[in-house]
Amino acid sequence: MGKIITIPEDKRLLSDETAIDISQLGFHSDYQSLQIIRIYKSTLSLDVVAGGFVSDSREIPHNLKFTPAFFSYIDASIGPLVPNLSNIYQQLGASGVFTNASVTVDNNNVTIFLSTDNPTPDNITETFTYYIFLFSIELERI
Amino acid sequence: MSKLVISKPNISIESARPRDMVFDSNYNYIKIYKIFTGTISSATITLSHNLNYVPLVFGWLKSGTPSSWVMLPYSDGTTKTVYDADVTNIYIRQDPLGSGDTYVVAVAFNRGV
Repeated sequence: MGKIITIPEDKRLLSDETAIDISQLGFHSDYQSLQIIRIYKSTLSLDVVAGGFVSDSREIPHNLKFTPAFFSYIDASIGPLVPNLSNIYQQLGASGVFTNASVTVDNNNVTIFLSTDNPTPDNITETFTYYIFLFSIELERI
Repeated sequence: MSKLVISKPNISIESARPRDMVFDSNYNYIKIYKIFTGTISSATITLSHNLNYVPLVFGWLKSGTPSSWVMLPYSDGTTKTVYDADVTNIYIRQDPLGSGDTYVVAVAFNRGV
């Protein structure tokens, strides 16, 4: 059975007799490559009055017959969020704004959850930009 | 030096940038070596990979009520779940231990370190 194997240019060897480590191969048809099957990118905004708390969520149906593995970033207007460990804090005057964001996936939807706690004396609008990548790896099949 | 390049539809390979490529043999793709699935039944779960180098690893956790999948590392504010790897094993660590969350860990042939 034939195979397709590629070697990145900077890893090519002058001698065919030297074995190359599979970790250095570009592509090997015996193994599944991590494939991105969907990319979602959009923005959401929260208007938070002075002293208030607001949360919101958005569900995006993915219409797949399985729960896909995924990776996400959420970029908030007051600072970038680390995926999942997503609590950030910004000092605004004498008080601070506390923000949460998370991305979860199940058999049906990708769900983005956002919240902002605004103890400042000013009304604020916080804007979130999310980037979500779904992979071909199955976490769970329906 | 020959190479294999596939660009997106209607984009010439002569002008294509990396983001326009469907495939480019100049690059090292993430090749999945093994996928582990299980339940976190102890504070540390050890998964043997035996690659003799530290691989690139991705992890996900099914947690919460109703349960859904999150990326690792993850903290719900009370329970922290993280993972790390050495040349022999992957370790999933949960503190405090939950009530049997499900995990999926994808180990790539690619080197993590």
